[in-house]
Amino acid sequence: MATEQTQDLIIVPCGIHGEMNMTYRWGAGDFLSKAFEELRDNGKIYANECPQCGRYHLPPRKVCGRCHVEMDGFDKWVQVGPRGTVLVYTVTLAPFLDPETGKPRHVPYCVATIQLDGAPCALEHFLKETNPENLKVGMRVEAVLKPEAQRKGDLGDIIHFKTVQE
Amino acid sequence: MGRRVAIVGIGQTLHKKRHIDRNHTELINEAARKALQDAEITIEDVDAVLNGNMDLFEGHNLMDAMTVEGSGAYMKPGLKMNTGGTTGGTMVASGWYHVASGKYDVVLIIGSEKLEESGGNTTSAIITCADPLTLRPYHTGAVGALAIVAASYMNQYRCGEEPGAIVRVKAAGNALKNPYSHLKLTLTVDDVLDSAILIWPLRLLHMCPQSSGACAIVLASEEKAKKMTKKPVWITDFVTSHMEAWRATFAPDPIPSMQSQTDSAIKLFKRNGITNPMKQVDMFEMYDPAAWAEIAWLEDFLICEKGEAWKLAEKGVTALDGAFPVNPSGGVQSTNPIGATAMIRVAEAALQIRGDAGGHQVTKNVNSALASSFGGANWTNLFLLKKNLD
Ligand SMILES: [Zn+2]
Repeated sequence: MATEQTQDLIIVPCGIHGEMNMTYRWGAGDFLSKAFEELRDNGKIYANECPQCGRYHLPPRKVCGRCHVEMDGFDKWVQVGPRGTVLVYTVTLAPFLDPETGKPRHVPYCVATIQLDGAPCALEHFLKETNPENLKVGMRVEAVLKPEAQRKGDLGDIIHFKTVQE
Repeated sequence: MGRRVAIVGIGQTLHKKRHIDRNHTELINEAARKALQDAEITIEDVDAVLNGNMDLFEGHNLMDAMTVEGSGAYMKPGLKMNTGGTTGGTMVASGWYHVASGKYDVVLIIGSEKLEESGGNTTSAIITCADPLTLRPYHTGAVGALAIVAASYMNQYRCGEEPGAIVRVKAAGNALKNPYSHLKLTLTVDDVLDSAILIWPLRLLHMCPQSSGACAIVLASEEKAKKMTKKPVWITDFVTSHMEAWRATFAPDPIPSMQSQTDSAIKLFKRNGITNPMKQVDMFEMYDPAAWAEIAWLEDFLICEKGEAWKLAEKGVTALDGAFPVNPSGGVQSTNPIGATAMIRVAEAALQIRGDAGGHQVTKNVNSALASSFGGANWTNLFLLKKNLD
């Protein structure tokens, strides 16, 4: 990249445009791995309960941040969803960059905090609906999963939550 | 509790979109030099130098080492800190630890950011704070988080869009009176309501800018402070609270209540006998990265009752000449060099207590002030500053 000359002062640009090899390998740990496997292989969403404060964690966590106690294993987990209720939502109209790809995200998209049926806990995820006229707090939604063969074992196996009439 | 610690010197650069005539080291130097000048000392009198900056934004690593000639840290001890939005507050806290412990008498703390060098993509850098496996794909940095604050508040109290605009207009008016502030905008409520939506319901004019600038503070022990200045400002107390970044997953926990803000307020007020903060403290320089944050967080900080904060700006309570001024500087809504932003809150609160704020000095007499920092995946620092020792 060329140096820029502005008002007699030099600015030196730096950085890599296009392909950039910044790769990481994040470990999910045993609890989150189990949760992601259940989602990928069985299409099931689980939460777990803190034995001390009774708070539910979604996805399941091994330690409760509030109590600092270890949580129970898979046999105590509770299946939640696939339906739930929207607690709060936002609609993004500005094309911010997606840090996972470095490319602008397609807009509009809607992110919501969704309380899933089955336990008092919520998940942040996308809504299919993006028209503010059709969105409201309290609306009922349902998880739409990728076809089984395309699932990878991460939260992206849920494509989004679609509006349902009940 | 440790030794008592005072703010004895304050320096800021102008905060603006670009500081094209100086590099980062030189920018730091200007703030450091002004703070030393304000304290009427030289770098020889300083025992330790601490730096704060957001490494990912300018793509520097170990910027404290890179900028030694600017900061004055040559052959002195010090630390570099990056705790996100709270960086400047973390530095005030850390400076306090250095002096209160008895290890050092005079400490220089410097927060800086040159966001013009970031390529305009701080949102991506901020998103990397979110857990990559469960939250990152759904986050849009600070803008997304603040949109949730706004959406939740509006939904809860059915107050409509106007309160956010009124608060933004107040901030803009205050910033026009503050020579150091970045955005100098003459705004009307309609200007704010007509500005583009970034993430509904958060509009462009609700959000803080991306600024370049630096702020420095000299902290001193009681013994030194009393010799150095007639106007020490005492760091009476402060609380730092962290909360889980997973907050959203714990429904039905209250959303958007920021528990770290409430927790810090409960602890700080209890320790200092504060039962009615708007009566017992004179003002608040709050870390307000968006107009709606000032509203929602006044409640989270227990300054007023739930559902009341949106009426305060309209009634003039939080204005420069109000009963409880909030962000007389124009706040983060007007000026946001991120590594310095939280320190500016403390610096501005201290200037108000000294009576040295100039054009944006509040009308009432200021003997005590709150200053807060927020950010870094849900942390709060809350400071109580006073003119006199208790
Ligand atoms: Zn617990």
